[in-house]
Amino acid sequence: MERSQLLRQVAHQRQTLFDEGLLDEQFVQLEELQDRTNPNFVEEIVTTYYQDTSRLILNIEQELERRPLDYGRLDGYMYQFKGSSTSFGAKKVKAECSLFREYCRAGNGEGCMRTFQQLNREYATLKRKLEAYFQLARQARLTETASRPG
Amino acid sequence: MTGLSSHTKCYALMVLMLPSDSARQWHVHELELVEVVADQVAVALSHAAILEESMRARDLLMEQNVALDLARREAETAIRARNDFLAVMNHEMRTPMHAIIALSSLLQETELTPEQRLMVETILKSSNLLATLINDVLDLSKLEDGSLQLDIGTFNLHSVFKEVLNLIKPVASVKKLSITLNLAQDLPVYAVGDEKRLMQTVLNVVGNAVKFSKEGSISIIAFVAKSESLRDSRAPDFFPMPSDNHFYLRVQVKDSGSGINPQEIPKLFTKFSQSQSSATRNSGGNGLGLAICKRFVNLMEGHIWLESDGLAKGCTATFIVKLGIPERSNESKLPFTPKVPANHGQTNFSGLKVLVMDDNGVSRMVTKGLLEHLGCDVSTVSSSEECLHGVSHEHQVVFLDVCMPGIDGFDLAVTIREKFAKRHEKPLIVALTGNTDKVTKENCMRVGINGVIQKPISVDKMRSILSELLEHRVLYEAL
Repeated sequence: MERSQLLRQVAHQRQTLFDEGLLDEQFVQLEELQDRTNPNFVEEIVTTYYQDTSRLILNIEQELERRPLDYGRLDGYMYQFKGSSTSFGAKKVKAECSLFREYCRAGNGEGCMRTFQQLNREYATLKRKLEAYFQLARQARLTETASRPG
Repeated sequence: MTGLSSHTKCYALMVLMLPSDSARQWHVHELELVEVVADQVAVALSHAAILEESMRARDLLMEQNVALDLARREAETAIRARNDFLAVMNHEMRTPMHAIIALSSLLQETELTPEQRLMVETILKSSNLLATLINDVLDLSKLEDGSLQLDIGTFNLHSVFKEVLNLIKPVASVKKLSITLNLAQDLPVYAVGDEKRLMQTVLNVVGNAVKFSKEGSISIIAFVAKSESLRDSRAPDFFPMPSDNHFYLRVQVKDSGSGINPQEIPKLFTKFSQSQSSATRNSGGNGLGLAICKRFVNLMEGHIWLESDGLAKGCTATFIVKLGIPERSNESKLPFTPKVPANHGQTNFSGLKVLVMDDNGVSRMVTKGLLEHLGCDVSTVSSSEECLHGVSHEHQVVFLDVCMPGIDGFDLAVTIREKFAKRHEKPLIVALTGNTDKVTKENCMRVGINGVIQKPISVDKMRSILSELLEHRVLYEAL
């Protein structure tokens, strides 16, 4: 694919992530922190985010199978989830976390379950779209090095 | 009798002329008498020569005295003329200086872009420095008779060096010289002394280093002089005595420039002295700067000296001055006022040692990345034990998340405070929190936390927060 076309696509995909509300301003901050001294910053944060949150999802899943539901623990896990998502800039996921916590506080098990399913969907979507975007961006970077005058 | 004089010696010759037909017989005693008379005449002649010599010498001395007297009177006239000139110029120079300062201040009050604001600030700072310099230079008589007094006050010592760096960087970069500033970890941020004159001294010394280097690098080091290093063989009559409320600041500026002939060094601190060779360090300058610096340094009960291995071998300028340590009451003198962080100030916190305490992995990483981006030296911990174990007096700021479930951030803050209660260098504690209600803010203040910031923070916000915090040691956002 021609390089300028590739770059346009990357920019477009990136913008979509914001337009669709998957990412917010915080993610831009992360991109800004990536520089010569920290060239893989965003990638590192993304990796840490996935690691932390996948662990949390497992914990929450296990908790949700217990009866009766321990809202305290659930809230605790979700607090962490929300914190990570806030620092990452995952807007929609963060919103679902807040909703879940509301249901926890209200002691509404049904609500918790429903919200958790929604959260999982949003999380999966974010992961998928981010992966596609990063892959494209990587491709663009490769063409940059290839097209640089030798 | 005739006298002959050759190059160095005078001879007198006595000739007895006798008729050719004289048949007189000279007896021995008569001949001896003639010899004695001849000797006496010789002595008399030699005395006359000496007298003549001394008369000549006396006349010469008298001439010289007259000449010296004239020279003295001329010098006095010159000094009077100079002082009159300076008094007039004083006024002439101050007027436009005041105009620059006044109008720059007014300009600051108008709407400006961040770049413009930075420029105006630099103009103001430079003008203020120049105004002080004019006052000092034109008040030479005060410097001479020792009636100059220092303006003592509490000021930010680290800022002084950073200011000098900012002022000198444009010049240095044009000459492609690199300048590094190294402030020791234990160098107090706040000190008591004459800020302007200290800055002038540093600026003069650094300025000289830049002026006389065609290439290479300049390094500025500032640290607290310990008693061993205070006694210096180059300053044998300097006996500094550190005490509880004072410390000795030692500044070394090393350059790789044109160097100095070691024999010229003593002359450099003398006003207006010009060295013979035009290739030496003092060429082109009037030698006033170092003389003034010496005066200031002496007033600050210190010492200043230069070392050089010779021409083209660079030079190291060192000075030690005595500064006071501000009392604790000065630190808490600023009451908590909700401060809106300004959008300007320091842009590089190079070397600022900070500790980040956050139990959330992503959040911790982001805060770390943010602070590192601003040049800080960041350590991270994720538990109270790690925090208390890892925090040291070297850390200037500690960022604490106070809303961690299961960890009492406030308690941690109190414990940290207690750990450094007896030390002068205490880390500033800043609470990072997701919710900033009034209760949280009050709790923070109650335990002596220096500031509260709401997460998530942007780079710009962190930058202005750090600036504000380091300047005023207190920050409570208007929320």
